[in-house]
Amino acid sequence: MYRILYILRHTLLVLKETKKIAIITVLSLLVGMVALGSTYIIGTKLFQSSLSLKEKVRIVVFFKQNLNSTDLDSTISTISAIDGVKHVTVTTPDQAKEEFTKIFPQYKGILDSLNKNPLPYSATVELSDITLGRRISDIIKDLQTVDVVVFSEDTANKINDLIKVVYLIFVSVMLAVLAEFIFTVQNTTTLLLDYRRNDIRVLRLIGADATFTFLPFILIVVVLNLLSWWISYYLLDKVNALSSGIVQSIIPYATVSNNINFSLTLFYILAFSVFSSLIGSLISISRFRNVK
Amino acid sequence: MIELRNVSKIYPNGTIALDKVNLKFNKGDFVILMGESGAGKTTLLKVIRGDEEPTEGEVLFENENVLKYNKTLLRRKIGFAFQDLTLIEDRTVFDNVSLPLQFKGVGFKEIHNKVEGALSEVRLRDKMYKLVKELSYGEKQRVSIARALIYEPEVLLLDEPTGNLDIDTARAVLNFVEALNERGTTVIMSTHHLIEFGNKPKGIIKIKKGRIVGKEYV
Repeated sequence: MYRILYILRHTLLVLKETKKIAIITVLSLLVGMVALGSTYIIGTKLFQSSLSLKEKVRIVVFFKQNLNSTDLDSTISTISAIDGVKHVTVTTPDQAKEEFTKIFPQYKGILDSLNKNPLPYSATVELSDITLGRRISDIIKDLQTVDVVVFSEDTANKINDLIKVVYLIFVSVMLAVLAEFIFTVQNTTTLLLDYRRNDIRVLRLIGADATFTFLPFILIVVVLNLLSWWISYYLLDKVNALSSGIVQSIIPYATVSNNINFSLTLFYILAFSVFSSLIGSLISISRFRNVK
Repeated sequence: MIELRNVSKIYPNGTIALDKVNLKFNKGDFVILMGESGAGKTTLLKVIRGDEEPTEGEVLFENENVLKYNKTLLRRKIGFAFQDLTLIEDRTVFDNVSLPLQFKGVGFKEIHNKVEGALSEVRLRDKMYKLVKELSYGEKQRVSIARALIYEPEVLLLDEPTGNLDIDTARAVLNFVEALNERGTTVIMSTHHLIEFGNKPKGIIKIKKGRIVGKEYV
């Protein structure tokens, strides 16, 4: 019981004697946490949003004029059965006319003056995998009831490339930030231990055990982590609020998703930070165990 | 209790600090190491505590090689006050002296009483809450001695403990050491003041250029 109190007292004394290093450590950890958190929040949103672009790549099929409902149903069934097709939505000539006049109201008079609706049945084909778009489009083109198939392969390829690039950048930045974070933690712990090298030497020489000598340093690192995390909470909250706008400006046509669990993200950052700090501290401490 | 078998210590620069030293100390001994500066007294004390590794030979404590002995336990059993003081300069005198009791988990009140007592013996009671860095070398030496005396180790190694003390303080320190010895602590001390003060050690070992040149036991 007394030992715990003495260890806590030593922790406070060392913290008091290393104020400057503690401030530098808090700032370094804060930068690491904010960088890690921001990268995770913006990167995840960017990646999820880029995935939403996939859903916007579709194949539009225009059927031949005067198609009867039996042929239409059979063609739709055939298209639905193609591998890579997620969903098929049929637009009747009347629905097409209505949509056309909504977009181009100036042509409503001309359309109404015609005896017969000139617009054919059409279908929008949603894809589960846009890389299969070219093949699906070719299969649909060969169907006898189909007149025209519209599929922009270039757009599909560009979106696919964009998703890959976003994913690669996200993973690379995350790894770089993680490495920087571990490096910072380990360095600051070493700095702290090195600064109090004489204390460690004296304590070891007079027979203090490793727990009594080194636990204060581990406790300090945990306290500094909590302090940095507390400050980073406010900064990351701002980043989270601003991130949707940032992502929207990077990919304007994407639907920005907001599926990030902010509290859980913060908890993971704290857990990771404390875990890497403890590993960093233990690595540093192992170097100071036999200090002379 | 402590046995040195053919112990030699040669430093990397070629200095021979100890040359085939054979010694044996029994429980309750009070032995003085005498010799000129650089004779190897400090090295001998450090080798006994396992702080220096012998180049040749071995040092046994309780029939076990000190280098294989649990270091923490060994350092708790063998207290010391060396000339390089080993104090935490930016802590108070109280903090420094109480350290050995703190890691043993002794209660606040007992620590306070013992520290106060030890500091009174070395005449530093009035500087209990001063920072060590504010003290003179002689005062720091007394802090180091008080810390060595406070937890009554099985063996006490003292390196010129009275070298920088005035006669009255030196006499008080030596009386305290003698009282500890009477309670069973083995004392090995390097000094040349003791005989002048009239204290009677149980043995005197003379050392010159790393060799034992004389042993006298009462």
